[in-house]
Amino acid sequence: MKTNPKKKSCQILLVFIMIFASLTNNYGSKTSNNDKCKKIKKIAQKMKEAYDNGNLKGVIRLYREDCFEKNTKETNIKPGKEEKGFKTCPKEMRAKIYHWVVHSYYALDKTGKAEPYLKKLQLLRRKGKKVQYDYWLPIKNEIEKYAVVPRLLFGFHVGFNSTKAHPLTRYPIIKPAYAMETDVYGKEYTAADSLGTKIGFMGEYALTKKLSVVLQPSGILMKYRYKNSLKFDRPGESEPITVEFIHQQTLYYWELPILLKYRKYQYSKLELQPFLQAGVYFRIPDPFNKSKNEVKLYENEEFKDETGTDINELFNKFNGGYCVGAGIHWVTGFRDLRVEIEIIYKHGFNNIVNGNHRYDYKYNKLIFGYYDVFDDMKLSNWDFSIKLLVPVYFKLFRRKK
Amino acid sequence: MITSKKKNRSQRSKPGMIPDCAYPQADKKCWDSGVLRIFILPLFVVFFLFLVSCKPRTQGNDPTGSFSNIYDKRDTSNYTALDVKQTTDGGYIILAMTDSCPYLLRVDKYGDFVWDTDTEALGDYFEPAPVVLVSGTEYFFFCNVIRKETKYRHLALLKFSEPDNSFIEVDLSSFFLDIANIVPMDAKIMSNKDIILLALNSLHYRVLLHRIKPDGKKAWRRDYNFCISCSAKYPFLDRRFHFIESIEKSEENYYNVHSFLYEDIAQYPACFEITTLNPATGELVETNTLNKPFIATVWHSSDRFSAAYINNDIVSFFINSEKKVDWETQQFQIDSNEGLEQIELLEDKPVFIKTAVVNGQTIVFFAGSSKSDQIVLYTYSVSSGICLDKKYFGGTRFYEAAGLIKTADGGIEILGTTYLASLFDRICLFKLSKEELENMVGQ
Repeated sequence: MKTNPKKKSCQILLVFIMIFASLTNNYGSKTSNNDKCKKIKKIAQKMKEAYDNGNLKGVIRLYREDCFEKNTKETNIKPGKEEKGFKTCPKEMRAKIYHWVVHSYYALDKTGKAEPYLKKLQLLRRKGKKVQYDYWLPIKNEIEKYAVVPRLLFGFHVGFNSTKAHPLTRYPIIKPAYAMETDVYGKEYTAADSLGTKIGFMGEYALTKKLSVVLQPSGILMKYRYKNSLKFDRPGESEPITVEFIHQQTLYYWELPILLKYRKYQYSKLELQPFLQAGVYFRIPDPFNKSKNEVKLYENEEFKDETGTDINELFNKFNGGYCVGAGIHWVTGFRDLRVEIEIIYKHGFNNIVNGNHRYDYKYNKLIFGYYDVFDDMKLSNWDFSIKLLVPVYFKLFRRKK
Repeated sequence: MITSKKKNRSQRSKPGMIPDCAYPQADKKCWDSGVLRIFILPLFVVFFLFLVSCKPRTQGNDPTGSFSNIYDKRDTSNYTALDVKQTTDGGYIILAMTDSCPYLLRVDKYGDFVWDTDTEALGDYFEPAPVVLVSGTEYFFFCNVIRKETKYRHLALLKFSEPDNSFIEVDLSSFFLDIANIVPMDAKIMSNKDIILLALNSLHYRVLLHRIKPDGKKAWRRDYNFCISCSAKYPFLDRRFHFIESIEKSEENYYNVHSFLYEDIAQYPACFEITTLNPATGELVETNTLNKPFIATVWHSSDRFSAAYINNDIVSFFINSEKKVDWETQQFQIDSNEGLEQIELLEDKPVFIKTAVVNGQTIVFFAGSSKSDQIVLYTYSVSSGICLDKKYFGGTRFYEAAGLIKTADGGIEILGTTYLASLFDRICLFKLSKEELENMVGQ
């Protein structure tokens, strides 16, 4: 059964949008649990009074009794499990609670136990929550040693690419019947007259506040072209008869780039963060779309033929390469959405052509029609992409001194 | 609290302060070593792969040993392939015709150009017979030349010596000096470098069979008349009907010569005969008449053969058929029902035949030119008579078969002519390796 590529692309895009919508809806949801919040407000007030009275353990006891789930315990590393009602309270109230807990633990010289609450506090003051509360000031210097960074980002990307093929070993079917000084039968490789496209989704996992691992699985369409020229010298004429076969090839692949991204954290007030990235990519042929070859004989209109020839079997089932790129990461301010623009140069490591099928007439329909067998070649691409990302959760990383 | 650094331990003890390395990822040295792991190692890997990927840009050949080559001379002449033979070094010598003049092209075992002949140097010679003979590093072929003295068409045997890079016309004066209008049809070279020639005398309607010594002297000579009606019915210059095929008879190599019928034994409607010939003496061992012509035969034994046969303008294949002769009339009996009709083949183009043992099976290969402008290679099993595979060489351009040989490495090679870019005739050569034949034949 044939699959319409456009329909398939639309389905994939729809899935991305649904995932994206669900992420954005879940994130930043607000509660209307007013009763519970009033209670939390009172607890915060009580904690302040207890702290002012020097009852530091009382502050912590209040937090544990009223904010934890029943039968949950706090360890030195991990705080106890909080009640759902507490979690859904406004961030300002939760921040006040954490603030008194942190202060109490510091006063008790239990900095290790204070640490998780300090992080929670910092996470609450990420984008959209400006520093304006009195609880903040006493620990401001300490807390600003940490940065809140999205630990996991998820999103999708679209883009276009310009592809060029690089011959490794040439395999001409037309051979000279004369001593030849230069390779006049070699193909001339160029970029295609139109750009390729790509679409996919992506995930980014922060290793440190500046360094992250990026996976960008995508469907990629690449186009490149090459020219075969035949020249026949005419006796007594200076200009030879020239016949040119211009092959434009369209390749469909599924691609998985794995990148290490280094991002300059909070570069400016606009929160534009330039980044550099490098890594490797792997490609397999798209099973739903057949790569094809179109031949254009511009010089001989009577032989003009633009029919697509299936060339899927002439390529290896796997190829890969390295990629380096740069871009700009923009924190939009709307629900923590992020937009990225990037440009990546990709260069293949290995030959993409299946040598076993090169001369096989069953697979290569170009041999006899157009005197063409594929050279061993690898591809390089310039990829330009626009990405829309949403953070799934954040993590606190220590700032550099 | 997780840290092993002394400095951080001392800072941790101060009440009311958050230690520098309170959080594991915050440890600067840990971070640095992380950078080493994350950046430096992948960079080395990428650099290594980059070096590996930068192979030298060279010309390559098919690793299977097969190749498909079209030879271009970059001029506006036509080069029509006639015959190919393997040379002693594993390469190939190709005989072709450029604007009716003979042309030799020498390629190596990969099909790459080694040398070719200057077409202007051979400008006086024309219409070479479609057979090139190889004797060591010397290559022979027959053609015609117009002698200034007589201004008639005379036979010429040209010898090209590869070490000397020169042509010599072998003196055939003891045979043909005064005889004009002789058209060479086929020739075979023997182990002692003697040549057996089959030719037609177009002026006197005679079939000529000669054994010629390397110096051009006569070993033996036999010729006979054929009737005008035969040449009217079957084109005189159609070389497909006149060929020599070796045959093992009485544990010796004899030859079967397929040509016009000896007039004295002509029996209507036969026009052809197969003459079994003792090459040592020229003695005619046996002659069998034929109603319709073979255009290619191969003998598996003295009484079994495979062949391509023309019947009612259709090419038929006979696989491992038994030789049946009516002993009264000496007529070769052909059972048309036994023939495998090949509707797709052009009936006015030659068919080439060869046998080979592949995967322990005796196989017959036929190469012909199809009506869809392709070269077709048929693979038949001798034991079962079944077609095991069929390969097409050609597509949107014109391709025509001109030869089929077995190669020393167990493969086969097909010679043809293509119409390059729909403009000019060019020689093409297709090599199928032993492995490829084994895949075609199967176990």
